[in-house]
Amino acid sequence: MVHPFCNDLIATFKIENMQIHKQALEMGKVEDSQVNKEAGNSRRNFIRYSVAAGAGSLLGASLLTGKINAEESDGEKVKVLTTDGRLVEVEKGHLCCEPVSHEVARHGIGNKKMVMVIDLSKCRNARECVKGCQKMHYLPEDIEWIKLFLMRDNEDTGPYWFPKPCLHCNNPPCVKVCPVGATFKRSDGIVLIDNDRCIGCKFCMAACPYSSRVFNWKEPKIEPHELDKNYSPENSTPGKVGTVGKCDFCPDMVRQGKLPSCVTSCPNGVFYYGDENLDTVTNGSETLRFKKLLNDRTAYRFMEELGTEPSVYYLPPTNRLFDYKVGFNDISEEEIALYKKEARIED
Amino acid sequence: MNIDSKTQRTLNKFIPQLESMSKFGIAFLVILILIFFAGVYALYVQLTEGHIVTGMRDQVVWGLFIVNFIFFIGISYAGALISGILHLLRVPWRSPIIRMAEIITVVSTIIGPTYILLCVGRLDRVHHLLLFGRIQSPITWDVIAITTYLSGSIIFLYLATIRDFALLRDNPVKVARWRNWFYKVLSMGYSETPKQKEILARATDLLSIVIIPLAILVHSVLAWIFGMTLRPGWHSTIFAPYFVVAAVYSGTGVLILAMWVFRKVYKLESYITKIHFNYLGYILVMLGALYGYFTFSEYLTSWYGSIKWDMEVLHRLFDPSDYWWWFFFAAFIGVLLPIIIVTVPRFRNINSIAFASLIAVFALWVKRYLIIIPTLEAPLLPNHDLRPEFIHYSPTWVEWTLTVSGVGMFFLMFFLISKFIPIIPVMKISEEKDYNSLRKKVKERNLRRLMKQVRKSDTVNG
Amino acid sequence: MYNPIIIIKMKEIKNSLPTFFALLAISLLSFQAMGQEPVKSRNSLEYYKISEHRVLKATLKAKEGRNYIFLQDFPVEFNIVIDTGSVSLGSSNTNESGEAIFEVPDEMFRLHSTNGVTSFEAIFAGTERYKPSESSLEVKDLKMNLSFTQEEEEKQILLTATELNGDESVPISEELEINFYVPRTFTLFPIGSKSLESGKVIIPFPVDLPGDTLGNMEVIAKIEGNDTYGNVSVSSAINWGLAQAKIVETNRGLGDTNAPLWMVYTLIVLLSVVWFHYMYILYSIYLIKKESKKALAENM
Ligand code: SF4
Ligand code: SF4
Repeated sequence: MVHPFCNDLIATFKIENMQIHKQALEMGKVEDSQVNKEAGNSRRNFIRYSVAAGAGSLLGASLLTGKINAEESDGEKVKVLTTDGRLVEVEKGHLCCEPVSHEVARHGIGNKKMVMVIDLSKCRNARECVKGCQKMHYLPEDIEWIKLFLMRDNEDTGPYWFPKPCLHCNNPPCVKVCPVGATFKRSDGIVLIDNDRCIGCKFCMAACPYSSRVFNWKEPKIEPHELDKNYSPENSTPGKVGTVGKCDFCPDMVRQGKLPSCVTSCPNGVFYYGDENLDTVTNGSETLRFKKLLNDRTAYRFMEELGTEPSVYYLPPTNRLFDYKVGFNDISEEEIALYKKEARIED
Repeated sequence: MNIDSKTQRTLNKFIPQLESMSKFGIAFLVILILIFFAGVYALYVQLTEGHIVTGMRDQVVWGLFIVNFIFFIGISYAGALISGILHLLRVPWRSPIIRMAEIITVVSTIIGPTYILLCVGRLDRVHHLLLFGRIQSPITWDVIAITTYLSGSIIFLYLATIRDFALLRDNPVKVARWRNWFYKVLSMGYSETPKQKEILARATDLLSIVIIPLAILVHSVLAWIFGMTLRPGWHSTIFAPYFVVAAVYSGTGVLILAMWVFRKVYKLESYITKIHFNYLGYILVMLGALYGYFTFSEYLTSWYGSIKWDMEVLHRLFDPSDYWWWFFFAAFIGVLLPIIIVTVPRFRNINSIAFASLIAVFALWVKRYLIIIPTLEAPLLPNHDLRPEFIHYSPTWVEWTLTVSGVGMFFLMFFLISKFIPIIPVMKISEEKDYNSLRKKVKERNLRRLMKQVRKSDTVNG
Repeated sequence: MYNPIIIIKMKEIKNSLPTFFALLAISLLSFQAMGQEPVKSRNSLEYYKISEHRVLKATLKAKEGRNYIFLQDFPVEFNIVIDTGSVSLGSSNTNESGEAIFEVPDEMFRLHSTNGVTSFEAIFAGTERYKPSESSLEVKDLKMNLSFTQEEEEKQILLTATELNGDESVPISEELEINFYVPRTFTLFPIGSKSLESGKVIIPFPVDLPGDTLGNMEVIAKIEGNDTYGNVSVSSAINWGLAQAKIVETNRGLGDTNAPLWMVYTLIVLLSVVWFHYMYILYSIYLIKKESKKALAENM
């Protein structure tokens, strides 16, 4: 069986406009990007080929910092049309599901800086992000990497639903305190956990002010199909007993140019994800300029005063599309009572 | 090594201690070993089933284990205080209690860190600390500081015992051959030559200078594990000195308790006298007051500042349905009661001082609990978990068993060490002044003072 | 469990009541045969021209229970239909989104199209579980060329579109809507859309968008879902984007693998001071031992 979100294929990107780009190269309009230089010599041929294939694929090529190289890409090729209507030739087989090594996972992807924008005015506690994330990472129902809070700043202000993944702080308290470097910050802004290195001291959990981390208190039940998937800090599955887990910003998906499950499963398009360096974020259906969005909607970062510098921005819950009570529709009485208590809502 | 008759007499008093074990002793030993195995079983359960068997959950990630860890490292201060400070100050009455203090230090510095290991989710990966250690992490600081401290304490205990090893080598006691062989090896051929005496004295002085800042550092680093996080109630600049003071307080308390116990059990009334209890009692009062001052300062500041999250923690501590009574005990009773008992002459006697210490030690354990748990129960974000154990921490039998087992181990190790070496430095004590004469001198001084007063009042009346 | 056939039938019932009983009978029969009865499959064919590649995409779906599911790993045959019948192009298997992708070989296209017009069909032969299905379409070939021009200060994107008329290439006369995009990490970012005017369209270049670290940027122009031409896209790269600052990995800091130097130095100093003393004290113990030998020798 294949990971549901994994293509069964991905490897060498060959982008449509070879000729045009070659011309551009010859005319000196486009130089080899730094990707080429960063890539090891063994990969040089392959990368050069990809670079020649198009500027867009520069990024594509840089995604493949993993094991793929020219020698390995001789296998059977399959053409794939990407969702945005581009033709891509990929290798058949399990290459896409072959996660990057622990060492590679410690470095960022290309020149990216991943950011997320969460639009609080559109959230109605549909909890599809939570479920989507659980499905994607084979989490049991009682482990949530995205948590939903009912927030209310004080007794007189309006309550609002507040989805919270790991905020991937740029000054992450969790990373600072880890004694073995099992949790680390990458250049692309993603904070990951190496569950093969973590000793389970839980210091990072105490240090994270945002309650983002969860512990594998017991041996996680591993479904047979999960065994297909090799563990990598980038896919965080399967979980390992006695170690810490949390939202990983789905770098494995980023490598494939695919959106994380929380983004695609939200029925209201609350989550926008993208690369700050390319100044765009998307929720799947609309793609927006990142800086402009932050400016227009006066976005904020949660508890900025802690100095953690999160990579997740929130758009304030003004002109909310739904009444907060809509969020009570599908949850138990018990849960409603708890939410109300925390948000100090009286009946 | 030739010894005088006085040393011989002292030694004779301790020989039965080393040579045989009473029925009570054996029963005690058996119980302790049983307790130890109960702990081993609890650990087995925890290792096979995962940390799910503890009361710790995602919210309260640290529980009794960490509380015990701080507690044991705290009482290890007994040694640093007595052997370090009292030694440097050449306090005359320190001799009979110096070894006890050192043993407390070594034993509790061994037991404390095992609790950290119990708290670690992957014991099989502890070597990662060496492979991938990061200097930035307070845990690394802790590992380094504690190993250094433990090494120092062991050396210190050893230095202070060499002379007795030599004594036991030259006056063989009727024990197993291997033990006599050990005495011989460990005595390092010491025979009280002036040169040897000098070297030993210098080494001891040097180490007591090194061990004091080291001990302060160890407990500061421990406090920084908490202080470095952004948690209400932890993220405080006075945390390091606060922990240090609390630690010395509990360390002194444990030392007094140990004195009381050994005095009773080994009949050491002529060595450990009321003077020792009184003086240590005064130190206890001073530290208790200091600890009370820090507590007051800490909570006053956060209450006055009234930051939302700090208030959350304070609410828990002051809520009668939550932690109030424990807090009352740890912060009020645990400070005031020892102070009253020791300072009011009418209440002050050996037993009451021991009782005051017991209260102080227990209060300090509770205080550590109140530092860890309520803060973790008050996260910065709301907690909507439906599972009660994810909101409120309550320790499970596994944690309690391991806690009791740790305390049992403390007694066990202490007991075994006291069977191996005299609990009081025989050589040192016999070369020092006679304690009875010292006592007489104090009595005389008191008498003179009394006379003076009488005379004064006479003149006033007259 | 749901009988899928009944659901389909129920919808039809509304349209023609007279057939209701007949259908009911059939559905009851099918109920018994449930599991064996093949399910209707749906097949839809789309045409993409991406630069010089002509690509066919057939999507296979079937209704299972309440929902449509995509049929994965089924072969789809692709043909070119000509007057005398059809020419087989080859086949391709569907992927997990039910899509079979097939690139039409250039020579086949040239041989079998008249005046740029070609008709294709996709055939799914069916299996025990799913009924066969087919779909077809007819497209006219269109050629787009994307280039960049700079007039004084203004940077522009120029797109021209031509089609075959007899043997000649002529500009498209139709006012087709052209969408322009810049590809970003996950999606295409729209930078404008404009209609063709006599086969030509010019839009300003988005100068404030970042490219890669050298400013390289790709622009894509697309005609989407056109009845005559299908989906046509062309792309080109230029280094007019804003150059991204290169991210430099920090390697010494609280959050990095290596500690700040002052920390390392402090630790080394503290540790060496303490351990030096320990060593010295251990050495003293050794001295004591040596001394004892000396004393022993003297006594003898
Ligand atoms: S939200 Fe918590 S876990 Fe995530 S990066 Fe910040 S501190 Fe670390
Ligand atoms: S629990 Fe694991 S990731 Fe967290 S600080 Fe400890 S070793 Fe690092």
